[in-house]
Amino acid sequence: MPTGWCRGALLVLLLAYPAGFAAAAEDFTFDAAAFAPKPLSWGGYLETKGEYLDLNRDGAFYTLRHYRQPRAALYRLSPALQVEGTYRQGIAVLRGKARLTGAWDQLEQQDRVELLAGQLSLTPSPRLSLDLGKKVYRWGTGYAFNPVGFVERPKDPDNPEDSREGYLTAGLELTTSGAGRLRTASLSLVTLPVAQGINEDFGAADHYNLAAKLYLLYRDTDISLLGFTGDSRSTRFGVAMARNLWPHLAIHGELAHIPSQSYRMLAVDGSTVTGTAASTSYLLGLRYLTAQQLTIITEFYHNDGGYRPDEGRRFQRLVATGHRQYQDTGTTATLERAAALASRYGRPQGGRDYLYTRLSWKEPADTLYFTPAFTVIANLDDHSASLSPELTYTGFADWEARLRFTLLTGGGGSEYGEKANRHRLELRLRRFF
Amino acid sequence: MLRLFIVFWVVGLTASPAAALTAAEVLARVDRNLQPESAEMYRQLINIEPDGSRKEFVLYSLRKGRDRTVALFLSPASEKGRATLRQDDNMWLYIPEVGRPIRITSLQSVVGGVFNNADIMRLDYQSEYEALELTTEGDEYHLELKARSGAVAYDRLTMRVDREALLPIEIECRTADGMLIKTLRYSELKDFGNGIFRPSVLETESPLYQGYRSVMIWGRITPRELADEVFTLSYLPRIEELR
Repeated sequence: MPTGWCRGALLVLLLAYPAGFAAAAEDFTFDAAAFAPKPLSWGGYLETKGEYLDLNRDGAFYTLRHYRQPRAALYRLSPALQVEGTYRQGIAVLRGKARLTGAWDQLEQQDRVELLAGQLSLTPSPRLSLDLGKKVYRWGTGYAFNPVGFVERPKDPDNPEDSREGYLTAGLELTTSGAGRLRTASLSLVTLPVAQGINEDFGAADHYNLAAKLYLLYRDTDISLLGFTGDSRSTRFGVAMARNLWPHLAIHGELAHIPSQSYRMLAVDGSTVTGTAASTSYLLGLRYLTAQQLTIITEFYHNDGGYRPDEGRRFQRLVATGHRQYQDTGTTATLERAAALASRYGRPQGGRDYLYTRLSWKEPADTLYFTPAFTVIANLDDHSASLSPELTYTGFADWEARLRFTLLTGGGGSEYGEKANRHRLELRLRRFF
Repeated sequence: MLRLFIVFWVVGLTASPAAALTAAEVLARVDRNLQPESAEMYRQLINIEPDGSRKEFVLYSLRKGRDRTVALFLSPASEKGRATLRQDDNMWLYIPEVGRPIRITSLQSVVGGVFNNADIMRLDYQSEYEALELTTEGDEYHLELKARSGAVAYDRLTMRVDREALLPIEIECRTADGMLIKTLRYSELKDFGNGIFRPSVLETESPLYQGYRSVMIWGRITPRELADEVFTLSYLPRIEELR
C-alpha cells in the first residue's frame, strides 16, 4: 500500500492534471464531528392513536365487556410517550426505557406508566457482557410467535414490533467468533427471581429461576438451544433455527417442549378442570423477497397448550348462560366465572393452529416512503381470521403515519367471530425525537 | 523544483506497475484504495426527490476483512439505533423496538431511496464480483465485473477506473440481461488521513426512479483493529458503545 507521503504526491498530480473525477453537481458536505458520541444520549417518540371500533354484539367477549352498557361502537384515543436513554462511562452503560400511555374512550379513561427496561450493562470485552436490572430478552426466530420466548412477556402478533416490558434479571453472555464452519458461539445465562414486588406476574413467588441460551452460527445457519428451569414456571426446552436458503429466501423455525405444563380448562360438563400435561409447540416460517421488493413473511404455528374449537365453544356457551342469568335475575356469578377463564380463552392466539402471513411492499410503483402491507392471522381449526390492510408513510423527517383497518371474520363459535369488535379502523401518528 | 521532481518520480514508480496489472489486480487495488480492510466510517445518505425535498440518514459503520461489516443508524431519530450486520451473505437487521436481530434476505432494502443494502453494506467489490475483462481508454481503465453469486443486487458492473489513482469514477449496474439498473458516480477527492485518499461523494440515479437521486458522503474513514466478536448478533445491540 502506498505510504501517506506517496498519496500526498499523488494528490498533487491529480490536482494538476485533468482527471475523470469531478466536483459533485451540488455542494455536499457532511460534518461527522457533529455526530461525535456523548456520554448521555436519549430519544423516543410521541404517539397519537385514534381508533374506531365497530363492536360485535353477538360476540362472547363483547358480552363479557359490555353486558352492563351495551353499545354499537367505540371511539378511542390513545396518546403515548416513550423515552429511552443511555449513559456511558467506560465499560459501563446505564440504559432505561419508559412509556406513558393513555386510552380514552366513551366508557373509561386509563393512564399507565411503565418502566419497560432499566439496567446496568458491563462490557469488559466484546467476548463478555453482564447485565443487571430490568432487561428485555427476545429469544427465538419467529416474527409473530415465539414459543421459545421463555423469559419474555407474550408478543402481540398484531403489533409484533412494539416494545414490551422486560423482567428484573441478572444476565451474563459469553461470545466467541472466528473463521470456519462454526463462525460464532454465544452462551447466555439469565437468572430471574420472583418475589413480592419482583416479577410477580411471571409465576409462583419466592423462587429463583434460570434460563440459558446457546447460540451457534454454524454453516450459515442460526441455531439456538434454549432451556428454562425453576419453580415459578415448569421446566422447558427449545430449539430455534434460521437460514438463508437463497438470496431472496430465508427460513426459520422454533420448537418448545414443556414436559409438564399446568392448565385450567372447561370440561364437557361445564366444570373447571386443572391439571398438567406435556406440550410441544412449534412454528415454521419463511421470509421471501420478490424482485419488486414485496416481502412475504408466513408462519405456521402449532400451540400445543391452546384450546380446541369445541372447548372454545364451551366457554362461549358459559358466557351466553351467564348473560341470560344476568338478564333474567341480575346475577353476575357465571359471567364472573367466565371472566376468570378469559386468560385462557381470551388471550391473543390462544387456540392451537395458526397461519400468519404478512405481505409488505416497500415503495411500490416508485412511490418513495410508502409501504402498503396486508396481514392475515388465521385460526386453522375454526377457519376464522383477522385481516388487516395497512399503509405506512415515512416521507416526513422524524414522522411516521400508519393507517390500518382490521376486519375479523368467522362465524359464531369461532375465535375471531366471538371477539369484542368486528372491525377496527386505526390511525397512528408517531413523532420521533 | 526538487519536490516536483520527486513527485513525478514517485508517481512514475506507482504508475508503471499499474500498466501491467490484471483485471483482478486493478479491482483489488481499487478496493484497498477505497477503504482499509479493518476500519470505522461515518457516512451520510441523502435521498433527493424530484421536487428537491431531502431525507437524510447518518450511518456509523465498521468492517473487518472481506466478509464482516456492521452499520448503525445515528440519524434520523426514527431510524436511530437500527443496525444491520453482514457476515458473507448472511444479513441480520436489529430494530431497537423489536429488541432482537432478525435474519433478513441479503437483498432486503433497509432504507428507502435509490441506494439499497448492496450499496450500504458493501465490503469489497472483489469479494462480490469477479473481474472478467480490463480495457484501457485514455486515462481510464474499464473493468467488466460479474457477480460471484446471486446474493448481490446487480449481476454485472462496468467500472470506469482512474488509471493513476486506481479509484473508481463511475459504475454502471446492470441485470444479467444487460438492463441498466443504476449509475454510481464518485466525486470530490478527499484526504481522510492515515494514507486514505479517495472520493468522498457517491451519487446515484436510476432509470427505475426517474427524477430521484441518492447521495452518500463519507465524513470520516479511520483504520481500526476490531475483534471478530464485534460482528456477532450478541454485540449488535451494543455497537453504539464502540464509538
